[in-house]
Amino acid sequence: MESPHESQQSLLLARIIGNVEKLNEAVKEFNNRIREINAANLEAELFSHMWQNYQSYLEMNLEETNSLVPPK
Amino acid sequence: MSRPLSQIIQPSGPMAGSSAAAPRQLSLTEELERLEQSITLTMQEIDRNFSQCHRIITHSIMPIVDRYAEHSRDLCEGISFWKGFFEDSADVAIGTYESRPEEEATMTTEETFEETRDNDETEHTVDQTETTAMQGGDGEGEREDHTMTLQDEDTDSTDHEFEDESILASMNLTGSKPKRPESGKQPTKWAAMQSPYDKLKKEVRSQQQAPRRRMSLDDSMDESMTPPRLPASMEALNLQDSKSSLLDPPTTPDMLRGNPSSRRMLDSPEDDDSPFAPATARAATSALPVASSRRPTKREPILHRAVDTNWRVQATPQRKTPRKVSATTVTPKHRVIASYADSSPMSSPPPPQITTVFSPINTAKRLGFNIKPREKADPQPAVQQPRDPKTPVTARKRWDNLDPKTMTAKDLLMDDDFDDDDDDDFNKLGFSPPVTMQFTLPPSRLMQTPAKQASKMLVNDIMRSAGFRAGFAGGDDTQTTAETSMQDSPSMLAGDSQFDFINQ
Repeated sequence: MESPHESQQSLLLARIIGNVEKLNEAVKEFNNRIREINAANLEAELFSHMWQNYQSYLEMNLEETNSLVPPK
Repeated sequence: MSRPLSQIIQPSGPMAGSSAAAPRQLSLTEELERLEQSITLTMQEIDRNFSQCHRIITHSIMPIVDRYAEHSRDLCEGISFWKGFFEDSADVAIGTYESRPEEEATMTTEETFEETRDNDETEHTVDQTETTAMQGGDGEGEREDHTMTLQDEDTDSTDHEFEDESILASMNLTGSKPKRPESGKQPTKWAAMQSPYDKLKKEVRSQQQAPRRRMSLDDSMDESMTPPRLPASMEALNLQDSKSSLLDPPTTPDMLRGNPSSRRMLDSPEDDDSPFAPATARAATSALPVASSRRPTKREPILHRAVDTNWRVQATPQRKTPRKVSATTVTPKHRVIASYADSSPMSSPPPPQITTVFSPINTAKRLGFNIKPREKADPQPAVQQPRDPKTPVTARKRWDNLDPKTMTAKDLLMDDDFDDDDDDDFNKLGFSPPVTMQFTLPPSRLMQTPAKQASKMLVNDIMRSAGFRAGFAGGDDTQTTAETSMQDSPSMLAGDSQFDFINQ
């Protein structure tokens, strides 16, 4: 004799599996977008490093040449 | 299948009944029923949570991510120009690429700054081998082998140490540093620096007085501590640093700024005396960034930990840049002088004068001829230069060998890429071939219409006609009344016409 709860629970399990699949797809999409954003932001990060380094070298150069004028 | 699903989804009824029946003495069947219901409720809760998660991600987070991506795209668009600026200044093309993860346990995603910048004379393949090795390495053993390979390469190819810097230092921004270009081979420089500074330290200790000696001792201690500090820091970086140094600010200027001893070392009077002192200062300024910048190539530091992707940065040198080609090989044969810029307003833009630009040695010889050579319709100097490797020195020799009495116009105008087709023209036309230099002008230059001069011409015409009318009508402008002078004065007319013309 089949328990009535078993069928209900199997239905619930199928529903849960479906929800998990959808959630997995959503998370995958989210990850893809985040990855793309990170790839785009990597350029910005590189540029920030470049600019920071340039500023540092420039400041050091100005200090060494005694031509660094304080901001007015 | 005793109850439908919608009835199960409503948990309040059975839960309330079970909780209400709990105090009573339940039978085994009732207890089993209660457990089944609780399991069902738990699964419902799980299902609800999953669906809620999906809803949150799709409806709440994804729009935010989309907006974030949009802003990030705008940011990258704004950055692209300046990034290209730095890339062009360094002759390095920086690209990012995605690679698969190497270590599942600890490092799932890492970013490594790799550059393959090389000198003009050395081929720099260390970073490329790093890239290929890191991409090929799957397990721990290969990882270890790769690190060993990296260490060997770092010890062997020591001449790349300054070029093996971080992506920041590779931007050739160090060109602004005055003492940078001599830092070619660092280890030999360290070896050469050790003993001279010991000597210098002894000299300073023996010659100078006590406060002076104390200062020099501090300096020398700082300086003498610097060379062993660099390998130690490198070893420490190799063993301990797991994080990226690129996240840190560029350490050289900061450390120099923050370290008063190093600054004093730079300003110390010993630097003026010893020839090694600039080298030390340079080494002290450059050693620390080298140490910090070599970290990425050695350790492949982790900038960002993502899920399953490594984002790597590769800097490849731009060897054949048009700027370099034009700077080294292109020597303009003729200079086009646009003379219509300062021409009189009455004249239409004349064809530009062409003056041959030769070596300065024989300028006096050539000045007497005043020859306007005929240029080809499409000279294409950048294309013609590579097939003709003649240097200006050879051209100068050719000019030196010429006799001013016997040389002809052909000799004068003989370019390295002179066409044979022009010989007949010279035979026919002699010294003064017709100048058709308008064809050599770039179209952009030709498109620069002298609108200002045209406006001057128009204004002058109006003034002339107005003056003629004033002179014809009144005979003399000074004898008219103020109203008539205001109406008929050429200056007023000119001003109004200019204003109208400008407005138009």
